[in-house]
Amino acid sequence: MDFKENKAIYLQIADNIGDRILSGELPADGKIPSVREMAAEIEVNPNTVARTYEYLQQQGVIYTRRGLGYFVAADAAQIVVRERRNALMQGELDYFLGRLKAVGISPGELKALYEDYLK
Amino acid sequence: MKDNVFSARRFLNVLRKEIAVNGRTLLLLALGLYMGLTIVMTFGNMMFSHSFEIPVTLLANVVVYCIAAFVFSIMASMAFSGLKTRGGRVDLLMMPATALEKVLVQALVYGVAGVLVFLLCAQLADLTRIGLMNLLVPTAEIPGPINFLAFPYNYAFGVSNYDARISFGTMLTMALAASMATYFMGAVLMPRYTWLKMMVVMQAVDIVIFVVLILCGRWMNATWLHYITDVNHVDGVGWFFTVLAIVQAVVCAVLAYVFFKRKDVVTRSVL
Amino acid sequence: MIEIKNLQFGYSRKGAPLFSDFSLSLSAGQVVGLLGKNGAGKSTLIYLMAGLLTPDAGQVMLRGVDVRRRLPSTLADVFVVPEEFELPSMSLNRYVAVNAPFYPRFSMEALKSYLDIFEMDGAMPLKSMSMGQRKKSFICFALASGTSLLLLDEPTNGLDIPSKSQFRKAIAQSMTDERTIVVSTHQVRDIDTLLDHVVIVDRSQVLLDAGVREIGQRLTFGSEVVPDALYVQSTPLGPVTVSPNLSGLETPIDMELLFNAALTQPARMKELFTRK
Repeated sequence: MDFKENKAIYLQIADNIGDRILSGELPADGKIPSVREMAAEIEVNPNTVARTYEYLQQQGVIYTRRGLGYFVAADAAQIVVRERRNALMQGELDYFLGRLKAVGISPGELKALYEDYLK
Repeated sequence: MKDNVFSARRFLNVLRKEIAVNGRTLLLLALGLYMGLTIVMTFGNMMFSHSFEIPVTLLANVVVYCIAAFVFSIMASMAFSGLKTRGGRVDLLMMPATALEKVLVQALVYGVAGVLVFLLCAQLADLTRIGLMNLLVPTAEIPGPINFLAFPYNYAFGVSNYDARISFGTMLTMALAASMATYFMGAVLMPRYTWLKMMVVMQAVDIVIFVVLILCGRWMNATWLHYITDVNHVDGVGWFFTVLAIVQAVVCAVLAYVFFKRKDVVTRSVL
Repeated sequence: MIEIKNLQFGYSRKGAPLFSDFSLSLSAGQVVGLLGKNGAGKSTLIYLMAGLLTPDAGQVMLRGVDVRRRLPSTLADVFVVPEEFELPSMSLNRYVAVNAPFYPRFSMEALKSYLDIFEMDGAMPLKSMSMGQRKKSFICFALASGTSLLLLDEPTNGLDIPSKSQFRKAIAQSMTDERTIVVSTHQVRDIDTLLDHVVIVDRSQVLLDAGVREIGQRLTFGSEVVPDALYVQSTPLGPVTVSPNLSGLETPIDMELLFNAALTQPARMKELFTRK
């Protein structure tokens, strides 16, 4: 993993896991690597990964089974989407809409552009 | 690990490591020693196979003793080879064993074992000599196998009461032990070019002692000094130097341990 | 776990000592980065922590025992990988057979997993390996020794890029709650993601002694040049800065920037890390 973004590393790792959940690579109720395995895989301190897992557990994206490890929650994908939606709405969206307004793009134009993109 | 003074198991582990790391070199050196001694003895036999005033066996023993003194000092100065480089010092000092165990292993390998190996090589060389002589110059006088241990203890030193005499062999053995211990200590103090440096130091020390004794004798006019330097009281001389040798051996051995304990990975400019 | 108390040390008796009344405390379960300019005494500090040097004053304690006493129980709990090390003429397997008995917590299983990570063959003679391979072999043994304290002096020096990646994997895998790994380096980028704790030393002063989380909370690393930035560095992509963290948002730590900031603004750094 390349930690080039400006987010704290443990959050970048969380995003990466979120991506993998959404893409289906980590299926619901499937096992995810242990803290140590993940740390070795992405070459990061295990305490950082532990912090990521704690964060994801709090959100309900993953859960633990004693002695067995960490697993993807059944509704993990929905939670991930929901959290990202909130983050987008609260953060980047305002900025983005401001930029659109500054260059004078109308709501109609925006709709057309988005529909085009979704095809 | 509970025992922080001496543990037999740890001692053996240290010994095993020393042999595993340096064994090949030591074996080669032993081989070289054997071959060297064979050459010397065969050559000596060839040269001196005609009768001499001095018994040939005595001559052989003296020559071998001189070689032994030389070789023993070299062996002792080969100890603590790990101290030569920084990486080696880290390895040796960080080895989980006590300083005593590490020093004892060095003394065992480069002292005791060295002496035994030398005797073994001498004996084998002697037997090889007999074989070679029979092969090359069968007509020459070929003395039987020489017992290198026997001679020194039969000749006692002194003119007075037999009981007060100290045997020559004891004197020589103590002198050898003292020399080895001194070079052993030198190996701890000066791990690089130990033997050469120690030679220089020993020569200097010997000269100083010699001069001091003579001066003392002149100034103090002490009777005890006269006694021990008087040839007529040769047994006194014998005892004096033997005791001196023992003291030197013990002191140097102890100092070797003390200096090793104080050793750091980098030597500071002023001790 | 490691307590350095009022350490005083200098290589020569005359002149200023390298460390004067130096104190530092490291806890277990951390990867500690020891950063400093060349000559700042990183290697010296490592040697002092291992008991390889005798302090002029003060002590270094490992679990309450003075390391300079070099008790076998302490030595079996510390492993040093110095910059220059020596390996005998034998295979790694034989080296392990000879040396592992000294370390009661040595794990053959762990050794095998590290050899796998480094793609090393235990049967190969050490002397016929390249410098980098020899270093990796030694590191494998060090990690497998199971010691509580592992001191690595410039471990990534001489390793090619794939090997540095293997090194990171191995370190990440070897960490436990009881183990402390101290890595001294000036190539900070090689290990920045592995660090839990950062210690920056310069001229016998501790410029920074803080956990990675705390650093992320107190400092911001970014590309905005703010008026009270601690340090600004120009890069081809624009300036990069270290400034006090006012937003509370954590940013990834740029260790090189952190290091430069500590060196150029020691007073401000100290102040930022002492107030609550």
